[in-house]
Amino acid sequence: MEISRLGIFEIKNLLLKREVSCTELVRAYIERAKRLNPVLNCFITISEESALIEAKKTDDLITKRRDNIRPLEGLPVAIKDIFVTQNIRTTCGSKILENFIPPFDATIVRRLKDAGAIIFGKLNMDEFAMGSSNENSYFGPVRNPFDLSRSPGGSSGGSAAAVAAGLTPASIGTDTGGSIRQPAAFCGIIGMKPSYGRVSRYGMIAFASSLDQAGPMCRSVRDCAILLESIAGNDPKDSTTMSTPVPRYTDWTVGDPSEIRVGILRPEVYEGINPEVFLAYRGVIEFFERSGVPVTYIELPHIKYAVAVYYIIATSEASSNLARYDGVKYGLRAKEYKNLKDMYLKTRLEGFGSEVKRRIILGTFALSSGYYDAFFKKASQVRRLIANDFYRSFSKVNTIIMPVTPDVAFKLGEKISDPLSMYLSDIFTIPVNLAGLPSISMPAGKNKDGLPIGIQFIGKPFDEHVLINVAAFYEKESNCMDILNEVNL
Amino acid sequence: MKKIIVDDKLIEHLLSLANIEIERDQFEKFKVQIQRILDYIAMLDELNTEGVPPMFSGIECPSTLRLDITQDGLSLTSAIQNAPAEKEGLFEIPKVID
Repeated sequence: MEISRLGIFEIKNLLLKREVSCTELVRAYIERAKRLNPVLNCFITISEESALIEAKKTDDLITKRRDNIRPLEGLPVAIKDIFVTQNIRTTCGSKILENFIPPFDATIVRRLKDAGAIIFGKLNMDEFAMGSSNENSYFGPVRNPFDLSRSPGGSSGGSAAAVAAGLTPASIGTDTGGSIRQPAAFCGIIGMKPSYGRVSRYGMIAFASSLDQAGPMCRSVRDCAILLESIAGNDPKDSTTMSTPVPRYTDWTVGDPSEIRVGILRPEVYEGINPEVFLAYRGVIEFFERSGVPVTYIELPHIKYAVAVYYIIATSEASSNLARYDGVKYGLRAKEYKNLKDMYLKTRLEGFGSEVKRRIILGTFALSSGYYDAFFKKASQVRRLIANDFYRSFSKVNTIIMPVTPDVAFKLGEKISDPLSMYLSDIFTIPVNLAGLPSISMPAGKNKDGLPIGIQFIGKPFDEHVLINVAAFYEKESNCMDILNEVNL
Repeated sequence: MKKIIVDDKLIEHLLSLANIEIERDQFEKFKVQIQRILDYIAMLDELNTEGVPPMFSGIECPSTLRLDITQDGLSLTSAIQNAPAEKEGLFEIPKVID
């Protein structure tokens, strides 16, 4: 069975028309994952046994009844290995959790299962979601399906590469500073970071709690709407999730241009970015202008400070969140140590990779006595200025168009020895996390070497439906998702 | 923000606060990298933020708290199933009191 080009919508149709059984489908994905994993390294764990048991249950259920079929009934799906899955190993890309078998499901996992989905694998990622290239994974880097010598982006690189190469019909990633949108852009797929508070973080292993957010990564805007509808909404186990009602996102996939008001930044802001990326960005703006959509200049004067703010706030929160890995309750414990303190030190020395250590040290500095006001407090004040810039702009427009990254997918190894240059590649994604906004990343063409170029549509808090409308219109009129036909693996 | 000099003493202090050890060959590399990052971050000094209230969360709405009703948590077996060392249903650690 040819499954490499299937999305959620196509799979639903096949299952409902009984053209394929759920068991056949799950088997086909597992076989494909096993065959291509030596090439792409997307999967950390394939949960074959439990997936086939669930598939059999779904087949029995579909045979028994034709109605009351749930939205994701029988959908095989692999998710980022940051979400805890009951009885399925969850590593977060780290040696310290290499053998961790969670005793419970994350809320998004529960919701996927309640909607009928079957989790068949856990996808590779930068350790604790810290990275933009997937090279910080303890389980080795993922390769970009468009060019195997290049990075798929990060930290949700395994998810992006797996969706692009048809190793899973869709995935769920997480985005703290761009970790859904940047890999989506590098791999030619759609990735949405929802508003902070839209999707539960319960059971999502914490990196920076005031920024982390989970969202869909998929092959069409319609799939993105279906997935978001299934996972969004208040969760009593996460007090930062809002009780704002979840719209029927699938009703917004018509793509009505009359609802769209676009804001853009002046071209000077983009000085120094890859000219091909800028050209693709200009092309998208011209497309909206040609379609009669009003396009207005907006000002975001403080976004140039976003990377500096982010690397104080995110590392501070990380240094606190990662204090829990001490070799006591779960995870790795060093084999040899002299006493309790030494056990902590040796466990963390052996268990954490160098990027994680670097960020813990940086965050510890920003929170330490004598530096807190000058660093953490200052950064949190500038964060407010960045957020205010966005809020002001949204009085005039309902979507802001920006490139996702200053460049296309870079070569594996190209930036790994220079953390600051890696951090700066997130300049257009980070401001969105700081302000808690939703944003959707999708392909806007390719460069001369055939590498995808991404564009993002940014919206007001809880305006995911507005972004789905914009993205659906662009998708329909531009045929931008045809880029995935160029992946032949 | 006065210029921060990242020297051996500062790195050692931070490692001790964070309960982290690093390999000796990483020490010098980290020192240089963290200095570069802090030099970059110093750009925030250009901004006058006097009177700007800090923003600590991605969304500034009151938390949606659940009802104060007792619910079952993890069972003892589940809670300790991943413990590196366990004794009689408790997490076991090296002796801390002589």
